[in-house]
Amino acid sequence: MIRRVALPTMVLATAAAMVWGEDSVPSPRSGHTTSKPDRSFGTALQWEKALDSASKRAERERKLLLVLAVAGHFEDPFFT
Amino acid sequence: MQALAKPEVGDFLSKNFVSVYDKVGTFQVNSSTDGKTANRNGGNVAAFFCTPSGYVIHTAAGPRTSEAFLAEAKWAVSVYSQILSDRSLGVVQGRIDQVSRVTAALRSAHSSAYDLMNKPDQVLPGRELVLHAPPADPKLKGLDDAGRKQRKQVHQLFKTHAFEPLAMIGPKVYKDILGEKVSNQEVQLTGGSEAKQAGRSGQSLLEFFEEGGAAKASPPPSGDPAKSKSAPPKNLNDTKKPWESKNAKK
Repeated sequence: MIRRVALPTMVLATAAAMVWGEDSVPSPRSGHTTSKPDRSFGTALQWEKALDSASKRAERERKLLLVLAVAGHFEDPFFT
Repeated sequence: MQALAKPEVGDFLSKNFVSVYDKVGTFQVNSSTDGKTANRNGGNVAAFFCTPSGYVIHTAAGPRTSEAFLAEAKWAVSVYSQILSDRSLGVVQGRIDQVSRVTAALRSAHSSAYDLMNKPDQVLPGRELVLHAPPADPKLKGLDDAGRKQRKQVHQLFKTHAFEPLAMIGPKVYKDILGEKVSNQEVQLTGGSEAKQAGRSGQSLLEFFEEGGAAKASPPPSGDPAKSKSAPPKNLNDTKKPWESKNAKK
């Protein structure tokens, strides 16, 4: 899996994580941080933390489950 | 996965799936000669489209263009929805019979998709989700060609193995189709501090699969899926997860 991400994007993402904390994102309305974690990791969707919680949420929301098996560091776009 | 960064892919997945990822251990990161940038050896990906209980409907094994990945995700949703909406399913007595019917229908759908990929001149419903549009970027033709080849292999495998637990079919896809060695080793890092810093250990795919009690309890089914009672779920609302077992580490 080759993924090329421009260095500025990585720098911005790293800086954002340092400023806002790894598990928080700024609220677009208030400009303050919210408690909802940003788990997009450079993708256009959010990722559950664990299979169990993903499975339960899929059942609750009547959705299917997508399990992505990755060789590499998914959290870092450079490596996946 | 570049395809996952596309808004149209993200929108479809968010609407239809709850997504989670897991790491595979066989992957090396080395620093380059300047000691700052990291080089990779190996690395691959497989996207398993499953029921909430972890029974696999379809798999996109290997990297994909966004067009290909979206087509495969849509195919999985479309086929499974059609099967579940089959009115005759509701009159089948017993949940085991229902599961057998779903399993057989799903495997038949994979068989049809496989045939269509071999004989693309056929006109069938949902054709565009099997023979997806070529990538907009001509530079991605090689990736697209490889993806089509891998998809054909998946359809062939799933003619007899669709709707098996992820714990059972996962290693088979990763080893047989992607040619990857699945191990419980952590990602290996050598070289520059930047590379080491980037490396964070996580649960290996093997550990994840080994937690599948359903897989360890029974061998893979073969032949007529309707006669197989070991691999598919006992009922469509089965709440037992394929990765859960009495011996699983908590």
